Amino acid sequence: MDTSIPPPVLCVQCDALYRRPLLHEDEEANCPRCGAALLSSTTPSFTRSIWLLVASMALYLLAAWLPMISVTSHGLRRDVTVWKAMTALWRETWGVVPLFVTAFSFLLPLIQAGLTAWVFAFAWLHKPAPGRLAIRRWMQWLRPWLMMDVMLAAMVLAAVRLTSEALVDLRASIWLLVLACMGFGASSRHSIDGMAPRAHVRVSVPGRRP
Amino acid sequence: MSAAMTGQAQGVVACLACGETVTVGACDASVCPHCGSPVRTWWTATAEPSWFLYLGGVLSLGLSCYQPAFAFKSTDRLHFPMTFFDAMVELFQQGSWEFSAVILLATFVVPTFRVLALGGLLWADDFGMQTWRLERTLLLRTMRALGRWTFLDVFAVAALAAACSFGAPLSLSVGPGLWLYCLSSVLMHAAAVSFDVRRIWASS
Repeated sequence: MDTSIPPPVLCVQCDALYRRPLLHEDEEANCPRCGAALLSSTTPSFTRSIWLLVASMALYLLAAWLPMISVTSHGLRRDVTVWKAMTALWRETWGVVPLFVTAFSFLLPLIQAGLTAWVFAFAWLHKPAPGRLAIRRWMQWLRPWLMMDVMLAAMVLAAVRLTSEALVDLRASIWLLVLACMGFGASSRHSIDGMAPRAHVRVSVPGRRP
Repeated sequence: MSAAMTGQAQGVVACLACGETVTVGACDASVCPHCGSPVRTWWTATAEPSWFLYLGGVLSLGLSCYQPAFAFKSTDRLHFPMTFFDAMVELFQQGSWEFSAVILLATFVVPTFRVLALGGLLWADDFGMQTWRLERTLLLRTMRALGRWTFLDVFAVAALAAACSFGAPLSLSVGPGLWLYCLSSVLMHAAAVSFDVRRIWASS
């Protein structure tokens, strides 16, 4: 008979201390006091997460290469790609604006995707990723500052605003960016949750016995 | 599952890196035995960093209202440098009420709500308010979720400035009002993120 007492669990939002509940498959416990998530027995699918990340990266690269919008004025049509837009932003504006826009909408999401890929690559090799807990901290710290979705909404807004001045077409690339953005968000969430030792999570790697 | 007591009363604290419960004992700092991350007691920390970020955000937001955010120059008409308020009024007069509404929401309504709500939370923390804890927690969560969307205007102007250099018959120059607003959004978001939600539930 196992007489060991499971360690208590502390709500990270309201500091309430609870006896660790026994969870069944696909159950999660929430704090009755503040409603925050305490524990989860849901097993995120590693295979699904890694393919989601690979697909998102492929979509992002494709979207960065293809034009996002086309601006036609005086019979002249010009295609705008992500890279061209970024270089134009640095050329046309100054101060903290291009710095924050580049950091929040492109650089930090890419760092997040890179860290997720690092963790997944080692998980694929059945090894713990070096610095995985530090990475988890960085990913948690980065999460409030990822604004690719806000940037996409702003791009659509700007394109619609320009329609009174020029003929503007939204190209397929912008929808690829929307999909890539959703994929990055979902895969990074899986990797953060999967790295939490307190969650009763077993990462199921294909070909590996539990 | 019942809430018998709090971590503060028992001298234990949650490791924010791995989520495990760590006993800190008499000292204020410890090391998580599960992951080796440094763990600090939240109840001995102060809310001063959040206050400084908040005050910086309020100051830059106030200044941004009086500085020109951008200036449009098109082939048929010349626009003088305009603040966000001028832009909102002009767009409304031109019939673009949807853009006017977006500027009203993202530049005035949400930041004003954030200034009042975060100020209220910090004030309540300073005075050790013991009531409306769940409501204040929900308010902080809402502010953290809304905070990212106050960058919508900054990003839209930046996207317009970039698009204008690709053959559109107008040019857009960015003024100090925009980067002050951008700075204010960053500082206010950082203030909301840095405020420890557990302080709302502190027993004293």
